[in-house]
Amino acid sequence: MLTAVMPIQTDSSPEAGTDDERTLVGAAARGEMAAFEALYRRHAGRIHGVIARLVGSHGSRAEDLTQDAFVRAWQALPAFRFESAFGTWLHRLAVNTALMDLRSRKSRPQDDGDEDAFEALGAPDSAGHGTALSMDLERAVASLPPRARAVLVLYDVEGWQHDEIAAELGMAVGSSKAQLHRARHLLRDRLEAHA
Amino acid sequence: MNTPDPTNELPGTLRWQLRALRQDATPSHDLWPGIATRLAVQQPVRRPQRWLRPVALVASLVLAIGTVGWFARTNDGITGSSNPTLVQREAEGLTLQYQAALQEVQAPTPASLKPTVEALERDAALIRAALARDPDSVRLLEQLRRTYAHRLALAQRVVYT
Repeated sequence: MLTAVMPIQTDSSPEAGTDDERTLVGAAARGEMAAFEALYRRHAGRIHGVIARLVGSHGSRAEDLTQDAFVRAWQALPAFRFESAFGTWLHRLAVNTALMDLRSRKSRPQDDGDEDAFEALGAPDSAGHGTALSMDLERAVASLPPRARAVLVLYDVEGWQHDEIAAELGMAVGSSKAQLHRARHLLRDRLEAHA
Repeated sequence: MNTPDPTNELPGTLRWQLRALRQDATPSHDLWPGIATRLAVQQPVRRPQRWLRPVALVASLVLAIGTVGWFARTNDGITGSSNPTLVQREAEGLTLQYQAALQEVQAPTPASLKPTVEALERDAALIRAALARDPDSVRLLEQLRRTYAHRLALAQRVVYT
């Protein structure tokens, strides 16, 4: 039951909200690129992680979107007012960037799941059973249809609420719940098929 | 807190494994050079700092007052006997602009500056009264300009600090 899971700390960066971070954000908002590079170095891993999970790949598409997210952050920084931690703001902007890309690809018929990722499920992993299990799960998630995957990642991995997901994806709350239902069923089926 | 869905619950292990996927991922190469290149060709939209607005207004007003003072000086002697005189009209214009600028600043005056501010406002009132009696006095208009400029400079200093 999800309610038993501890709430996820939205901003896990140890530096988030510190004076140092505020100084860097302020300098970057004034146009200092060195300060923005320091922020990039600090947050790139987390931002790339969430984008890769949402788009279901760790390839060039996720990297392009990570670049896009940081460029958008640079453009939006002057309007940032520290109403949330910078890391939280950046994380949401990255999610939005990935979802915009997902929406733009919505009409593409071939984009109904990643068959390569599906086929790769259960591939041998010499690092041990635990890692193999995790990799299988990651591949199974990546193989889900894009919108179902996005809802599952945001709900079950990132800890978002259905109303937040619905707002971000431009869908009704009921649709978000339905997509989650579908995604969980597909995920279990695929994991069981390769067990 | 997420709402439980009894018809579609995940096994506990799977639920925790999904949460465990929330990890950082390092890109296959450094993305910064590409980002820096894109930033270099576009400057972000920078909003002017809020405090700059009154300061800019004060600066422009001081300049305007100086210009008006110069205008009044160069026109000295050519004013007719119409009422109000050119000098009086300039003084009225200056006063209105000064009051508008002061309202824009609206920063509380520190105690240390209060005596100076009060003296300047008293001086300005005395000069305006003198101008009512001597409506063609460019010297009084100049004094009024300097007094307003001094008062606005103090306001500017308060805004800066």
